[in-house]
Amino acid sequence: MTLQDLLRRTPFRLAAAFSLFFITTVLALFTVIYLVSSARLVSDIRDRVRTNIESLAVLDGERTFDDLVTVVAEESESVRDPDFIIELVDKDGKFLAGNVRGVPQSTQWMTLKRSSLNFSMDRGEPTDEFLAIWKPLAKGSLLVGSDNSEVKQMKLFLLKLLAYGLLATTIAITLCAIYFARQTQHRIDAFANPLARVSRGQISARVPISGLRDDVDQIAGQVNGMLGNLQKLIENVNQSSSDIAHDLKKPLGRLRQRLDDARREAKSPADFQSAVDAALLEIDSITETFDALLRITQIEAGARKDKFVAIDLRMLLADVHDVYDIVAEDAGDKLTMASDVAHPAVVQGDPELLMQVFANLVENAIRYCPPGTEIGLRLCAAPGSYRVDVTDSGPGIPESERENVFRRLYRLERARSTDGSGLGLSLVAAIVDLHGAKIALADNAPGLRVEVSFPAKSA
Amino acid sequence: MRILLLEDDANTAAYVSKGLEEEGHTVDHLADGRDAVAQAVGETYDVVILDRMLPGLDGLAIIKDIRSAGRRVPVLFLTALGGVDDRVEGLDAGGDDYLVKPFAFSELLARVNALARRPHTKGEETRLKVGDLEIDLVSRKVTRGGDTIDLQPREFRLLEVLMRNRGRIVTRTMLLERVWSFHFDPKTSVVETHISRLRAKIDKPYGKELIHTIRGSGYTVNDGA
Repeated sequence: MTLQDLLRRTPFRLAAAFSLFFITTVLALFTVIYLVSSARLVSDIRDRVRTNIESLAVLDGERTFDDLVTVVAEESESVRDPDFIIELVDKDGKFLAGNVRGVPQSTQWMTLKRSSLNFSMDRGEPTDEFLAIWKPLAKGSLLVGSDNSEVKQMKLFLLKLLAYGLLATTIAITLCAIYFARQTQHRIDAFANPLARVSRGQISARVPISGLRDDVDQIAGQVNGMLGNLQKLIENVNQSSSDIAHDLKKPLGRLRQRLDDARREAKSPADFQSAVDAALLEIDSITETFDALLRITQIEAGARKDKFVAIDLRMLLADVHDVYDIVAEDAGDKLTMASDVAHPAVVQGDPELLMQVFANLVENAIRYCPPGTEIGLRLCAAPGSYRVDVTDSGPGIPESERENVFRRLYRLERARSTDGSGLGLSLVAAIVDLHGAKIALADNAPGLRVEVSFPAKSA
Repeated sequence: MRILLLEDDANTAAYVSKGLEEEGHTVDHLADGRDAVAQAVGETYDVVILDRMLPGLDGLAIIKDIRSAGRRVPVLFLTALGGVDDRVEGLDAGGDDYLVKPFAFSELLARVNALARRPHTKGEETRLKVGDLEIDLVSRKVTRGGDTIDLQPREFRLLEVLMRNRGRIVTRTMLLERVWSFHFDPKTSVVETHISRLRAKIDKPYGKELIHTIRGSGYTVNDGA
């Protein structure tokens, strides 16, 4: 794996960014500690020098100045360690006593290098440094200085601490980051591998669920749900393709038989004529099946939604009743219409398609129920919706079959002898769906009740 | 009648041309959409039959171009199987009628005949007469042999469509579209039932039938002379 590959992995990038952030924070913290403690050390040394200089300055006066010279001289003699400098000069800057000579006069704190001093002691390193200050006296000036090697040592110690600390932190953080990056990478791979299998056509592959119930598991659950739906859809498509092929093979078989029969058996032009007529009818029914399938597909694509207008369901049902009451009467049935709604029941829709929905439902009742059936159209109002019930007193549909009848090309056992494509209710369901409405089949005891609920048009 | 047929499929074109010529019409056939507009505008036709999908130029564009050139010639357009929106788009573009492929020739012929304007009528007719049957489109009164006949609104509409096309065949599909706005094929005998009710009021009491069934095609109103 190259560095570029590594950089393209989210867990690695996150771990690297996190480590960098952490290390920077540690570095900043150490810098602050370093600056504060070295400042503190310097000010400690200065305090010491000042205390020293003040205790000597007590001797500053007309009569005691000579004592001061003596004390300074003694101090210079007695100090054995090269960590302390002292110099006393008179008003003209002439050396009176001390272990250093000719330190330039200044009112500021000075950092003096050992090598630049005229030091009377032999010991010590030329790189030693002293923090020193002059104090003006009545009859001269006094310099006191102290070695600042403590500060240097402290600084060195802190730098070492910093370096080791940083190293340890970096190692720990990096190990942590690698561990977490790998953990996360594993979970990502566990996701990516099944998805890659799906795209290679293994639609049954699923993403593993770790059982941690965390966000990744939630996404895994959703992905699996999506894959499940996809699988069902694909199976449906496959199923309906083979259904269509089957459904078309039957009439094509009949058509072939008829033509074959005619070729062998027909004796007169009239025989041929009737064979051709029968063949044409067969072809028309095949065309009709195709037509219905295409119509369902188009409706499901939702293209007609922008042509929706406001429709009064009462008027629509009155039209349906107007067309079909005598058709039902001729079939020996009775079609009635009732409305529980006294005002216009307005929904958004395509009038032509909605007409087809109710025409289809009424026609189903007329065709699949025995003569003498009572067929009812009823409009009811519910909060926020209107419901149209199409009822009959016929044989009904067993509960186990109620979902199936909406499937394309599905036909109930008892309807197989009648002509029909098995697409009517699929088309109804597609139109109902396009309108955001719901369709349900219920027991009318006896018979079937089809309930179509529309969302009422919001003002 | 002089008919312009715009159809790129050679088989369909031959089938339609042959059928129409046998009915005594003159047919000019073009297969390319690019020449269609010039032909339709430059010559005088009674009806244009136009395939919705043509190479060179879309059928919709052709209708629009013919209309914008000021030609009121009736246009019947042919749409592909199941094209739900094709019909609406075609009629919106200025088409007068449509037919879904594949179609029966009798259906095409009936529609072409219905589209062709009567040469001798001027303006909108308000009174239509066949034999002793007369309907007034304004007062919506129907009389036969001087008797006033009461019709339901839908029965009147059915009779009106038949009377406007008197002497010509009106197919079952044309009736479904024009009387009930059904653009699908009902599975019950909607047309037959309503025609039979209309006959019971218009024909039965008078002994002589004016509404005739043309087997395999549709219906026609004429006095059988």
